Amino acid sequence: MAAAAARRQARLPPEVNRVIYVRNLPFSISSEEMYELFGKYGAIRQIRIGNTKETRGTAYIVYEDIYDAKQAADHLSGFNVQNRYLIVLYYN
Amino acid sequence: MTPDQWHADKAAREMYERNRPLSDEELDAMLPGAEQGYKVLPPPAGYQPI
Repeated sequence: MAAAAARRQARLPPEVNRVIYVRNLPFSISSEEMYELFGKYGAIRQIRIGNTKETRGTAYIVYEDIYDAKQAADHLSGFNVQNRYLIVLYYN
Repeated sequence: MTPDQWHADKAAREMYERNRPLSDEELDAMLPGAEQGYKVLPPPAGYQPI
């Protein structure tokens, strides 16, 4: 728990945000897979997924806690999902 | 209030502001909605936030 407490004290850079924007998702990814993949890092407030030709393969994931979003962004960028490499950016 | 208490307080206030709970309306205002080609993905049945 000390690590978590230390993590909470660290000031976060301004661009870190509770909402992460993910690109290069497989088009066929299911809700279960999305919540399982992103839910590992913390409670998810909401997920918005693209459902048109232009927005398919991208999603906005809103975490309840900003430190969880940072953990997710740090670990998931470049992560291989069904041999596609995820691109993870902070929403601004 | 000593200067470092003030800075700590300011940091805590800033972090609270960045981390306060977001209401649905705020999310709708912030994020692209149906007309921009995004839909809210409902959690699967047995989803338990950790």
